[in-house]
Amino acid sequence: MALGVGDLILQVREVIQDVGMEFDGEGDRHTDAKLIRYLNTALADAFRLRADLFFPGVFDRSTIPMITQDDVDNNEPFPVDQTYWSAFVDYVSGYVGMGDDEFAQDGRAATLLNRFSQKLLAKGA
Amino acid sequence: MPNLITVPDSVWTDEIFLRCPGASPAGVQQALHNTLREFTKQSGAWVVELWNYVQGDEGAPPSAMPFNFGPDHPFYDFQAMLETVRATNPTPGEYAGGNPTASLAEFYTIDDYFPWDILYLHRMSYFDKYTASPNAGLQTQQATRFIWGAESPNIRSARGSFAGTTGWPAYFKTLNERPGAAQIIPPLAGNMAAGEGVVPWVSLGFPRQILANSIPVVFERMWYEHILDGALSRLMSQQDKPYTNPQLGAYHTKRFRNGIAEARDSAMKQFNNSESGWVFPRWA
Repeated sequence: MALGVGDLILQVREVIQDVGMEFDGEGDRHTDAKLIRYLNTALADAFRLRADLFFPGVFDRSTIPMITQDDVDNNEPFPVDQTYWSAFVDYVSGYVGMGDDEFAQDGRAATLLNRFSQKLLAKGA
Repeated sequence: MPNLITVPDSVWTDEIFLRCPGASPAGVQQALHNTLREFTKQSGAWVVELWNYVQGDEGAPPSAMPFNFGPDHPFYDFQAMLETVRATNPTPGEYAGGNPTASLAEFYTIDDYFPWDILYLHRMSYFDKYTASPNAGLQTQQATRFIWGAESPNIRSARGSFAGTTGWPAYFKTLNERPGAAQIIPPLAGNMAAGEGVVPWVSLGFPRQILANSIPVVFERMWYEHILDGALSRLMSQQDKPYTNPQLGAYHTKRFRNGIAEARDSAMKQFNNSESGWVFPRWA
């Protein structure tokens, strides 16, 4: 089963503990629109670091894919090789954490963002 | 290209993914195709014979035309190309000098042999009717003479090639001098309609474009390890990638260079001018 961008947004919500409660009757703390903006930022950063991930074929240059709300609603396939799936979860989760004002979250956010670049550029991570 | 036996890219890429975790499919394919291009360019080892299409043999059974394989032949494209050039000549097989414009149409033109690039023109054989045989079945085209001397697009031979000798085509660059292009003057007194022709032996190379996931099988049978080494060296030599490995990159580069030298040496022995036509096997 191909992983879709809707799956990615859901997994990010699980990491940042924003899946909502059955009894609170309120919406998610972070909107889809904000997470999609962070995801598009991640794609732009990844294109700079690893352009080869975005080439659809040999010698066929591509452009940075941009995710929309429709893509998330339809769970369109994630535009990057799935072996790098978790790097993008880390990036979006880390960006959300950077926006939180609870000081306890700072270290975690920085760790997540570092893992993004490490997964793209280095062994392990 | 019909009937050209090929293998898929995955023959190499499956192995490359094991050795370079984190490499992207497009990146691996790009390294593989650049390796194939460099290997063919520097070794000149992929030598094929481009058989000339012989006018008038269309109705003959295959057994009667050992040198004409028809449209099913992998390199029939080239045959048809030569035939097209020759069709514009009012007197096929005869070269009318004096008028450069008219003469140009009488050249055989080796040019842009899609999808491959013609890198080197090694030598040409000339065949004609073997009428001395009492066996009618053998009175077909027979390779009778060889034209020595490697003449290659981009690479000039100080010796030049024979020109103006009756029955022997000559090789010139003329107005189409550019990489991958060459022009051949047909035999001055040759009779193409009677079944005479030429067979260029050329080295083919990979172009810069993707080849629809198909690699000629000779690369898998003969040079599998060399190609694998070349692709691995390209990937591991890149900087700041999960599969970056300068030490292994240098190791595979050295093996790739050795592979090019070995393939080149093997191919050169096909064109030696020693007394014996015997090509000594590498393993002996």
